[in-house]
Amino acid sequence: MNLGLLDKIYDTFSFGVLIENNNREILYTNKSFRNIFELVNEGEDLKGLYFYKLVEINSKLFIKSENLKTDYIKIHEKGIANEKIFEMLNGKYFKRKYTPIYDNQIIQLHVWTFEDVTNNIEKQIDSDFQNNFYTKILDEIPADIAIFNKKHQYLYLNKTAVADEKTRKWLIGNNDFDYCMYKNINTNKAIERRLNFNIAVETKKTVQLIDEIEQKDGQSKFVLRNFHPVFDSNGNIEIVIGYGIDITKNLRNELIISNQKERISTLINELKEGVFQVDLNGEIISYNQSIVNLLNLNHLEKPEYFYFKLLQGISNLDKAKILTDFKFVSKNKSNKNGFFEITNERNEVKYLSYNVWFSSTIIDGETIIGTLSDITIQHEQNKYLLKNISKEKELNLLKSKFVNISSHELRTPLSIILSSVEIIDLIISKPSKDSFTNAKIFVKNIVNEVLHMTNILNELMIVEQIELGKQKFKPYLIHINDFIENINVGFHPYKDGRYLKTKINDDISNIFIDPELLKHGITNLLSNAFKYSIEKKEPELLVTMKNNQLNFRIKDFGIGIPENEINNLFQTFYRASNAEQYTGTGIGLVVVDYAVKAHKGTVKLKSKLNIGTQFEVSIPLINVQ
Amino acid sequence: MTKTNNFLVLVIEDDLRLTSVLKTLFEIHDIQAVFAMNGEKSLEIINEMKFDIIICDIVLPDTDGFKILNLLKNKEETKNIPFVFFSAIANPNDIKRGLAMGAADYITKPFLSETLLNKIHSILNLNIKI
Repeated sequence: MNLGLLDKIYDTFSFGVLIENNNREILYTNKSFRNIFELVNEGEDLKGLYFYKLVEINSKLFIKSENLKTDYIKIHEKGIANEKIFEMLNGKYFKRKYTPIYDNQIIQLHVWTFEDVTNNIEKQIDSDFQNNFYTKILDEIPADIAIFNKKHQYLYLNKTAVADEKTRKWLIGNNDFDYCMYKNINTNKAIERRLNFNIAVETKKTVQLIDEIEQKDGQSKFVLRNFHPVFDSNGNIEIVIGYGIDITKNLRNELIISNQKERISTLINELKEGVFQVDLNGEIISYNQSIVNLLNLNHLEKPEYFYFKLLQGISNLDKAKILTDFKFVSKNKSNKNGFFEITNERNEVKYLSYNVWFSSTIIDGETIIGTLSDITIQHEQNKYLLKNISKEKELNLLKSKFVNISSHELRTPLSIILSSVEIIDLIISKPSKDSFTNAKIFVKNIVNEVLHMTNILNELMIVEQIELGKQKFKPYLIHINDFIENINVGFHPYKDGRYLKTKINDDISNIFIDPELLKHGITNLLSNAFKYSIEKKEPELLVTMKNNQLNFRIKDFGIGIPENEINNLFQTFYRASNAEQYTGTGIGLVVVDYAVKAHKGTVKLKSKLNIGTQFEVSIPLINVQ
Repeated sequence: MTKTNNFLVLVIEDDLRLTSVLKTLFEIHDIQAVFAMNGEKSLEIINEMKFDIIICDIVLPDTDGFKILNLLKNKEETKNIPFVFFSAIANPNDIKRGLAMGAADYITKPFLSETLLNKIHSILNLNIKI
């Protein structure tokens, strides 16, 4: 085959050309072909030879020349266009391309081209190396890495993402839904990932989600997944990098810390004691729920000054005390405690004790930490105890007064009795005609003094019962006349011969009273009326009913009571200054006061010195039937 | 008992029932006695009359026995009159106080007339000896 001009053109080609006839004899080779195969012969010399012979001659050029021969035979058997790259021992690569030329459906010519692709291949190798290098790195990174196209199809997955190579390869070009179908698993996870992927694509921002993956051992694995969009130079999303980091450990630690925090927080909030932290200006940093409850607040707002604005319902004195204590603690870096009273909107009073101390920590710096406790019950108990102690003291004083009264008021009658007995003894030891009469006077003395002493003792006993709170109120229905008759016994007549002037209004019949108790009261007033009006007009008792009150008015015309002493009269053992020469214990009016108060009544008195005294006892009608 | 006693007793006592029996007792024993019911009255009487012995209650309507004793001890004319407290107040502190102030004795109520009379006599005899 003489190609003439074409031959010259073919020789300029950088790739080698080999043309065979239908008997596989070489018809033509160009220069480049001969160069690649290192043939020194001219083209004409090779005509009629077989290509595989050339390979055999120069087999040393090829890494495995048999491969080239086998390839040659196979291609001829098939007679189909084909290309393949071969490596040569000199480090070069060539691409062999085969094209059959048909005429009337019979192959007439076999055209082979051999292109030196060494440069391309080297580049490819470099690129493959780099590719492998990065792939290796990506595979080694302890994070799931996947690269998606805009349709959320996998372009790449690292080994951490999917360990199984087969699955990994399968996933390329597929998406999570395909994977779920492939593995026959629920698509929930795929839906969740798709939603987040779409958000990342729409917002063009990285989206994070936490994936909980149940593992074979039943434990959950938590992966913090990110969809990170990557943009091209026009700002359009090119790919989306998905990467997930196993945060199971972190989450577990976080969970432990959070649980601990929760537990401590619950503990502090469940405490009945208030716990708070304020800065050195008194500004609240933190507090528990009890603080809010104890201080009667709906909530604590920051930044409010703890001891100024928030301590409502606290006296200024207590506020000043608290402020002083806080200042002391912050100045001296020490501690203080105290208590204060707080009143809520319903006027309920609470007693709170506080304990505050200085604290210095890296997180909060210098602060004051404090506790607040409700000590209302203890306070009440203390008050009760103190009251009892003072009651005890009072009783001791009363006892001491009782001893003095007994001493004075009983020793005098005893002296009279003793002297009277001695006188009687003397009289009867020297009888005379007047002996009987004289002796009788002293016997009467004795009887009077014994009665007087008995009376004193009775009164003392009633007062003691009253003071001890043992005197009981026992009311019942009694007719007014029976009650007054009972009282009148001692005053009809009184020992000096005067009679009590009594008047009872007709409209009174049955009354609901404690007759024993009220008798003591009224009798005492009547006795006083007689006692302090010796040689004066007889005292009066008027019983009336007016304005739903049952009134007993006891009026005498005696010595009266000094005006400035009236208020002291109802104190136990008190005696008016002008009454000292009259026998008495100073306990009668205590009985009156108690008896009237037991009936929910009142005692009023009017008095003028040397003119007389008028007592008015009023008992509400509610007790009168 | 002596038939006639030539000494004069002042009794300062506010309780009329008691002075009444004391009067009878002194009468029976032939003792001359004057009775005063309060401090003011007693001082008046002391100024007017000369007493050999004074028997005085402590609780009085206008003053108390200690004050009377104090007044008497501070007056040249009266400081040597034997003074006997005669009281229903029987506590040891008051007795000590009374004696410390110069009282010749302290008689607590109730008393036996024999005790009272013996004390009067012994005090007066002692006084005479001095």
